[in-house]
Amino acid sequence: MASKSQDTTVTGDTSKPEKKLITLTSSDNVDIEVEREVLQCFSLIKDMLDDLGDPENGDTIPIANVSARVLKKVIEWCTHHRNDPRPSADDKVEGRDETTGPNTDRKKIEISEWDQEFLKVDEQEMLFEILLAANYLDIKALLDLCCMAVANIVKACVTPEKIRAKFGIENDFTPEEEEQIRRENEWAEQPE
Amino acid sequence: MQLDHLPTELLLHIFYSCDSISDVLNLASTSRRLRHVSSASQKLSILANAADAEFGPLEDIIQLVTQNASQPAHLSREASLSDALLQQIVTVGRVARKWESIYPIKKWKIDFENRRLLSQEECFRLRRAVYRLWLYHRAFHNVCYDRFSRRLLNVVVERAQLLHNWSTVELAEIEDIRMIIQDVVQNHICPSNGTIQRKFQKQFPDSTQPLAFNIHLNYPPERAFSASPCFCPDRNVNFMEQCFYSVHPTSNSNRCASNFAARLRADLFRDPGREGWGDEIPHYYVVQDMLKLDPAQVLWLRDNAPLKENVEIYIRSLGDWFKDNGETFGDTLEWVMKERGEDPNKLRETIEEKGIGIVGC
Repeated sequence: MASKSQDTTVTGDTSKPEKKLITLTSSDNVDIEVEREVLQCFSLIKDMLDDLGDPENGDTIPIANVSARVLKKVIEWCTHHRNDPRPSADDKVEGRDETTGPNTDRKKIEISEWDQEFLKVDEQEMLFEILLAANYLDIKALLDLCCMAVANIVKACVTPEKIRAKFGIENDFTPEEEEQIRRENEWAEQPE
Repeated sequence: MQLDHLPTELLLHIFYSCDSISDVLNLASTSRRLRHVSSASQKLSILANAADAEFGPLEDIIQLVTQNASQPAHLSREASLSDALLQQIVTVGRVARKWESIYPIKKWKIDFENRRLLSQEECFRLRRAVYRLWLYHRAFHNVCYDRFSRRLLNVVVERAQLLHNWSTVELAEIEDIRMIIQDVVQNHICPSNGTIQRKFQKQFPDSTQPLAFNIHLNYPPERAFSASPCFCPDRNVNFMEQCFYSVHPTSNSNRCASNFAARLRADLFRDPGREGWGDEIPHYYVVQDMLKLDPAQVLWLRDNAPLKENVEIYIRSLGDWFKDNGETFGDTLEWVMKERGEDPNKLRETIEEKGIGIVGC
């Protein structure tokens, strides 16, 4: 339900109340217009805007490390998730609340259907590009999501050989090292 | 861009996103760089993080594996991470995971049309309940607590102190899994004469052969048994070896898909009636005794002791204190519930109706 939210933080100048557009320039020199509200997800840009104010007319914000193709994907994700509750800074779920009942929060969040669809990118290349962009732009929720997606691929592969094949990783171990690793990992093998 | 070219902190982030130990180890076994990243300073904490997702809550496992007679069971103990601790976590955790698959079969036994898999949250609660019940077993179902001490006030208070650690909702979860374990014990490990009779009739409807039940004794006369080594654990082994013994039998004991197939086999030398553990009342006491077995032992017997004789040999190997000495968790739960001004029977009813407990809302 993405009804327009009145109460999300609209920081800075309030002269133009909504739908203020800001232009980003990708690494391959493409200008992309984004609603200012969506940019709240990009912690890197948000902090910059908070500190320096919005760019003057005609100025764009250069995003030096992200290509237009990837930047559009990232904006698509942020647009969909712009109304998500923002996690507070110290949301790390190490908390042990032994007194409470069933709702000890698990850190494992299911990936929503929309996100699954979003991550069905043609090549893994794209997944890693989004991951890197999320890291660079400091979008924690998207970074978590991408890492979880990679972890799920790892899970589906079941063996190191299949993981290598899937990600095109070169096996640079000597047979002796492989044997050693096998022995080191024996303790965790399923008994049957 | 390839996975193993990502910056180290992002690779670590991926390692921390893995929710099972085998995923972490598989990923770390793919190349030198990934192995190096994962085996540097953060190795234990990556593995602990995965173990928590797979088998957690870790703090309850730690309470279980660090329990020892030198301090009261209810005090919270901490343990620093180590390879040895991780191995214990995996061993104990796998037992809980097995109960995750048994639970739905037993919980929706009658209304099986509603049977479903457990949600992540429910699995978490189930594992937690298994660890806590197991801790109780370790602390109070052992040679120090014989049949004469069960009603001594100081012993009751000591037992109740452990249960005071948990809210009534959490106690209901423990009682829930205990009732499921009881079902396995009384129907699969120690079936009553009636159960044997019923199953025999079902399998051989035409048989007119009467079954020769031993109706007089809870425990059969001591047979001269030539025990196979796998049923005689060394009495002096420490807990983890015992646990390993019970979780991973090393001998190639004849794994039996259905214990009942073996039990019901009738031939010249065996009568299925000998597989029964008594009629109603004697059977009740047998089950009360057997409920002192911990969740790993019950699983082990279920998978590896196809015959009554096998179970008896195992029980005898535990020592004399085990005999005629019913479990005490049920009594202690009632005591604590009364202290809290609540009705224990009502609680059990609500658990059965799925109003509270592991799948209760």
